[in-house]
Amino acid sequence: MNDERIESKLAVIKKVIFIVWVILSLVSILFKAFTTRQIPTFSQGLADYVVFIASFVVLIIYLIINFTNEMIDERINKTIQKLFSVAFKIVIILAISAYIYQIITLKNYIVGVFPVNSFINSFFTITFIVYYLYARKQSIYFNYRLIENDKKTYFRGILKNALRIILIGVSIYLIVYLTDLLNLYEINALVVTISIGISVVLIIFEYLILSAFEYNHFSELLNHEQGRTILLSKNYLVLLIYTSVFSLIYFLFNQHYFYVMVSIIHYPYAYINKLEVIGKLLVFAEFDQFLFRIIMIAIFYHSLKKSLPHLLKPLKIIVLLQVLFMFYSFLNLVHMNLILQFIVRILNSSGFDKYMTIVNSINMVVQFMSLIIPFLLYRYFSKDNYRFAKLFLFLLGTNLLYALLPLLIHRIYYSSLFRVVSVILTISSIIISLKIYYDATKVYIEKKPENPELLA
Amino acid sequence: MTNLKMKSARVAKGYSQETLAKLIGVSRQTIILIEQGDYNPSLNLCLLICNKLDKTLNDLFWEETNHE
Repeated sequence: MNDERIESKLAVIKKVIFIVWVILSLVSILFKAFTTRQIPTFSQGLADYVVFIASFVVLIIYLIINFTNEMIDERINKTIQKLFSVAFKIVIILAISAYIYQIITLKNYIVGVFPVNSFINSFFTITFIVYYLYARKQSIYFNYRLIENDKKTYFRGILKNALRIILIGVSIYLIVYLTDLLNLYEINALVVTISIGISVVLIIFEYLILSAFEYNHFSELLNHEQGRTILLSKNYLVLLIYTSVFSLIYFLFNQHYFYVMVSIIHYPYAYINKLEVIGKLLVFAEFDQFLFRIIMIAIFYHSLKKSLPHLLKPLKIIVLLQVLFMFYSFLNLVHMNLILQFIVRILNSSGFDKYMTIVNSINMVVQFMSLIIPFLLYRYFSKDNYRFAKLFLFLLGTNLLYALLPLLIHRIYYSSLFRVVSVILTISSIIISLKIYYDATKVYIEKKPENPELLA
Repeated sequence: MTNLKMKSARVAKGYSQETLAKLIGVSRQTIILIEQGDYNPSLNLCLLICNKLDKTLNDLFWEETNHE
């Protein structure tokens, strides 16, 4: 397929991605310099440098082509399309090569506060997300060569692509171990295994989710054209499952970490060290989760705007509140993981105690305020008598109990009872949410098409 | 503006959007977007569509301007 529309739109998307790459790599370099208090060495940030310089050069070439030609005609557009298409592949190859160099030469897994593979992981995650969002905006698909096939052929093609990613991962492993065998570099086996393993798994996982996403979007689009609009896109459920599983793992890990820290003398140092590395990886992944949550809110809004256009006003209020509370929890995460370590240094013990009491009180107030969202959702879906609407009241109940928990059993905050009840409440609220949104994706709103005789 | 002329020519020929897309070598969504008036095809693509639907450029893509 040589679709002129897709070719031209891809150039637009890639231009945006190059701009994002410049910003991302610059932020990453500055962040590493800030946390390590020195200019990052090649071992610490070669991939960041390479992506920054290569993307910057491509954008400069683009600007030169743009400014040296008074009229941008079809011929110039073709040149620009070719530039972005070739440069896109080259930058990805360069980034992976630089990453190989980094894991061969770096001895410590952690650079500043983040792991060595944090840049390459963000690079691919953000590229996937920007690519997907802009592709949607330009009405094309990431897997545009496969999307129009039937379900079986489509997913077979997707699995083939996933296999190619695994092969690249295995090749990187082989190159790295070859340098060790030839005594070119002495590699740290654990660093290599963790770095490459996590990156490959993450990239495949993101690719599979994105592909399932596109399939759902395309089939929902065709259904909508034929007058059957799904109430809430299945993509919301896909992301909800993903974020729920992650939240559960993150929550259980934190519970365990807290338990270990309380009785630290019973655990060997090596074990605590491992837990800290895993904790840092999970915090990094938690930042990723916010991007997925933004996408979830966007899907929620666009889906319901299409299926329930008569309830647009209450929908806008709910979405606005969701964005505000999500922004607050993002600030909270930045505060807990980045800002707090500087505050500890500034304040004395009693000052820090007071500071944390104020922060915890604000968090508690915001947690109570956020209970308005399940209530508003209950009212929103009750207006059209959807059966699952009542489940929002159960969700409200579990969230309320969770918020009240520290107040109810304040004296036994460190006890096992507190831990057990909070685990039960978290799992319950995840199950209720999954049930609600699973039911919502089963509802279709039937409308007569405008020109039924002209339907495909 | 929706291109109803192209839609009706396609239906009259007995082609679905998918069939026409395959015949021309573009994606189905490109056909949907052209018919919805959301994508302006190049002259080359217009000619291909006309060719497959046995129509002229005037039949499918010429828009009458109201000078009154």
